[in-house]
Amino acid sequence: MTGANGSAASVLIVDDSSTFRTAFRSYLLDQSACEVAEAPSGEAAVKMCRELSPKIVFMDLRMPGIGGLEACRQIRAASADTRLVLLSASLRDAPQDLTTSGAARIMTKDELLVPGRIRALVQQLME
Amino acid sequence: MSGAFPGSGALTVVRLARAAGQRPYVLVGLTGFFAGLAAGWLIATSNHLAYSVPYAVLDAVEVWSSVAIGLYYWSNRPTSRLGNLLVAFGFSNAAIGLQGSSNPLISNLGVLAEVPVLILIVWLILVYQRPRLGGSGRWILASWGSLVMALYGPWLLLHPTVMTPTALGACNANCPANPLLIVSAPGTLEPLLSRPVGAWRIGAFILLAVVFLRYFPTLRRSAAERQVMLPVLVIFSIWLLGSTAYGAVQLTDRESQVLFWVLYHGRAIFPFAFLAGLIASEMLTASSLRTVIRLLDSGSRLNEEATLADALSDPDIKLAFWIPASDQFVDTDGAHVGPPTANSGRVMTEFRRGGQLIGGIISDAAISQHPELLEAAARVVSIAVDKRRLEGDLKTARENLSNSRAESAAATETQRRRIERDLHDSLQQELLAVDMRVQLARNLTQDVALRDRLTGISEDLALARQNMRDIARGLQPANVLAQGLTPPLAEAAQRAPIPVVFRASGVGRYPADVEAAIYFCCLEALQNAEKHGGQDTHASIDIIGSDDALSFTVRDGGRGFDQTRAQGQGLRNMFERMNGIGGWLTIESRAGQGTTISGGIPLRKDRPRG
Repeated sequence: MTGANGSAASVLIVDDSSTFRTAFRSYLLDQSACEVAEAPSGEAAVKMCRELSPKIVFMDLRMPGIGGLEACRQIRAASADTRLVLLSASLRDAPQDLTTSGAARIMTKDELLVPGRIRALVQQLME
Repeated sequence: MSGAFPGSGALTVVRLARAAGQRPYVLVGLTGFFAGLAAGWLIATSNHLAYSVPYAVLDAVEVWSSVAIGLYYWSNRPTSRLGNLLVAFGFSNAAIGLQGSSNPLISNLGVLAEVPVLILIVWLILVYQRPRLGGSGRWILASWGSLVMALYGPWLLLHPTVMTPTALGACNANCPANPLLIVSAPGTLEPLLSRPVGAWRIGAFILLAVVFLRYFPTLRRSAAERQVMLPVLVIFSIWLLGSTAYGAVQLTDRESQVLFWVLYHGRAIFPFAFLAGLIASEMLTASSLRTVIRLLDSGSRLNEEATLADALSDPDIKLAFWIPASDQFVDTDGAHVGPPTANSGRVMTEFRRGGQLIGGIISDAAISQHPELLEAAARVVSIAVDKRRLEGDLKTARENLSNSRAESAAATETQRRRIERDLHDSLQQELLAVDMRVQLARNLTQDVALRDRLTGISEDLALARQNMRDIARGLQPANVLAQGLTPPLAEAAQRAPIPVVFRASGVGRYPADVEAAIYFCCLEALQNAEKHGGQDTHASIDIIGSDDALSFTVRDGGRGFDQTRAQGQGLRNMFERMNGIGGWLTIESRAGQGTTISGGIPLRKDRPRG
């Protein structure tokens, strides 16, 4: 876990690709002022959410282990306050039972790169 | 015989290779010829026979015709006893020629030769078209033999002169004395023996009744039996009817004499009746064989049982296939077949090939007497056996091929999914991360030129990700899995950089491998049109679904290509994909005349639809 200032991170990035996590972390910090932590798997994310209670979780949909969908369900079951964003390589991969995941929304990773989109999203979810 | 149906007497074993028995045709023929000649010469030169010349001619003709027709039977009905009996009939008639001898004892032997002649007449009738004489046949023959002996025995012992009771065989004044005479009692015996009306009429009447009871019901069984039996039965029945009527009707002496001449010497026509029967049988055989050959050559799907029923004029004929594993015969539907019951008029004939029992037929008993028909039937059964085996092999091969294709398709699909996942999980992430860094870098600089360059790099990266997604989509068309063929192909047509008309008719949902293969082939064909069609190219995609098949056609009006040189990977991929699902693919193209790529897959009813 990487928490800014040792306090509870406000944003948690969950992805099995360290390259993506690192790049997205930098990108996120550039786009909005927030504290960012990273988790490499769904299981780690569930554990870190219990410890850090992040405000927003960016969760990759497809990961080894329990996967993003199940991780979202478990996090939602533990905390109703955490806002969950599912990230997918393609919307075609979006599961039919998305509503049961408790995710606030699902978006493609490409969408993260639309200028201004990530800043507006973080701002909206932090409110 | 055979162990297939132990205890059943109705079985006959016939091998495909016809048993060729060597018989002394020439020796018997020459002997018969000279025997007839000698008999005729003896009678013609006799000094005590009243009608020596006509009697000699009649007897010689009877000898020659019987032996010749007997030999013909030997040749054409090698398993029938009729040939032997006819030859014996001929030589018995030759022995009658001894009546012409002036030696009393030899002349008596000539008269005695009438006994085997009369017995053989009935024997011939009894075994005609019958595989065996049977118990009742033996009884009839024994009774008839006793009757004939009863007629001739007292004569030989009690009459001063022995002469044949025939008109032509009558003696003149030189009739030789009877050397076997025990007691001369001409006054008592003469009325009976000179005109043996009573005994003859009774015996003939009984035989007539037996023949009717024994044979006429069988005429209803099949056309084959009728056609072959009629010539013999009609002639024999007329002869017997006349014989029975003789003496029962008041005739003048002259009428009586003429009728007796005709009836008694009419027996000379018997061999020709059997000849007529054999010719009828040959004609039936030829007709049946022609029918078999016509049906075999017709090219239509052969129904062997119907073919045989038609060819052999036996609508109830049944084919039986020998199943060694279960040690039983089965019919065309696979149900157990048992032997026909006794007295049903039907018999089972087994066929062997290379010594191995392969099957048989259950047919009218008359058919079993025709070796050519049985041989034709054996060929048809042999074809049926081979066909059943080949159909079984083909079915197994189809199932193996289908399983192999399914396994191959499943393995390919698994591989595709793995590659797609790898692309998403690794390359896609990498490209996205690089793009993020590029954008971060762009945000950090105020240099306009550098920002423009970084923006260009970011756009290139976005394009690279898009291309990668398209490739991944081609490998694993998730949209096709979700929506079927029509919407994704319509979208592809709309997205294409050239004008594309898309038409779909009757397209439903199909197995995933079928939809994926056709979708990929349509995209590949469309990309070919885009890449190689040239300027102002236009294209069309037609996809048609029916109950029997799902097919597609992609046409373009582009430059076309030389098919003999076209060895592109794209075309090979299309062939492999269609082949993998058991479909077909055709490519028609000529330089300057556009390209048409079409393909499809037959839809079996048992193939699950998606």
